[in-house]
Amino acid sequence: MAGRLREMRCELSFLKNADGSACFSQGSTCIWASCSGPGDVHASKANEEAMTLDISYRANCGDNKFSVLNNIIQSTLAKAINLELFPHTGLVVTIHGIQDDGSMGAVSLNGACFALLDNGMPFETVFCGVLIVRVKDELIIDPTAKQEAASTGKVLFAVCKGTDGFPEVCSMDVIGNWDYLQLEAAWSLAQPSASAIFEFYTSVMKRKHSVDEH
Amino acid sequence: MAVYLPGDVINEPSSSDSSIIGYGINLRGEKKVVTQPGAFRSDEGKIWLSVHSKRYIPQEGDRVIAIVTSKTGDFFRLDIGTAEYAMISFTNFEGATKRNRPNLKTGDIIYATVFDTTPRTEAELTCVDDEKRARGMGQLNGGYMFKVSLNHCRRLINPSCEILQTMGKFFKFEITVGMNGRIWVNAPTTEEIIKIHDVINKSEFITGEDELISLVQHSYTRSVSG
Repeated sequence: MAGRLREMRCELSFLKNADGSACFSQGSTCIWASCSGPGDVHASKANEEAMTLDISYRANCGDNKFSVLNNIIQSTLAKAINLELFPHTGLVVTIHGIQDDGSMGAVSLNGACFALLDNGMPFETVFCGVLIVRVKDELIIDPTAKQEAASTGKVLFAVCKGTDGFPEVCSMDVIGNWDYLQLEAAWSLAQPSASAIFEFYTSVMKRKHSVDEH
Repeated sequence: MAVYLPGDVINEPSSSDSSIIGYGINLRGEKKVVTQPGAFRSDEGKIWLSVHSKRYIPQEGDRVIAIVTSKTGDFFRLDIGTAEYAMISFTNFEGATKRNRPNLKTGDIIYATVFDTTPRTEAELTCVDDEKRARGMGQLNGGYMFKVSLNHCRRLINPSCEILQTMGKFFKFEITVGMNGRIWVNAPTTEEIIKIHDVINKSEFITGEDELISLVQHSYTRSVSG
């Protein structure tokens, strides 16, 4: 079992006009994420009880009206943010895929979390994405585009930090034929990586706040 | 310096006896749960998080810089950088009565205090304190207003911060810093305003004193015309 994430790099406040933004890369997969809000929302979309989420993932080519990744990002964000805190407002999260070398779903989720952290708005818990693929009965974590194309099954975990500090599944997206034991094995493989990503969040935020030390 | 992310539980020894829980922290039972990413701060029984953000969320007691957007009945509608507009009553100005209304037009800038942030309603502002005195609040005439991040605003008005002191040795200027990330400056000439704006923007990521002095010096001597 290959259980290592590719190298992560992140630059916060990358886009000048967004409230929070990040340029995040994992190996050679790279995205730009931006997050603006809580802000004004069009009257037709406004919700009197909760904040309206507007999530869009945009690849660097092709038709970008809708992406399958929107669903999992939307449901993860809806769980991570207490939407009732800001009724009648909107939060716009946009993720641009700059270079796709596999694991785009996981990288988008991580980028979205970085944009949210950079924004500084209140939310319940940090979250991250971990993609695991199965190639010839072997589980590979954070696959490249080649490995992803050769896979017979994919599972994308959206992981939240639980109350005790350990990773918890928040939502997941599974493609292919998986039995219970395999899913269990995939989850136990994803846990240490999720913890590693959470640690990376803290180290990046420490760097951002280092200007205050004086 | 400890940095916490949302969902973390604070376990600082100094926070155990603190009775006042501030910004970015929520109490859930006995646990202190972090809701905003920020650096941990504590002072005399108070704990809070210093959050880096660009988007302002109104809080009671904050002094903010607002732009008048329209007049409706007895209220002015104000833009303070939040999702919804804020309101200020005609009578919440120094010396104002029902007959003697303040003369404000759309686009004017005022410095005011947030005093009511009831959820699901517009935030309400006031330009007078409890004694009906303005104490520096009110309309800001002339000058130039721009936006920086909220943490940079807090840093500028921190008494231990050297940025404004150092600038004061070189420039003659007036400044008002709003907690909503807006800064208003006025100086005798436009050229000086441009230079002050430059220094404030560039000083955001500067921490060393020598670096700061050379930045101000460089801005002071350079020419902006042309």
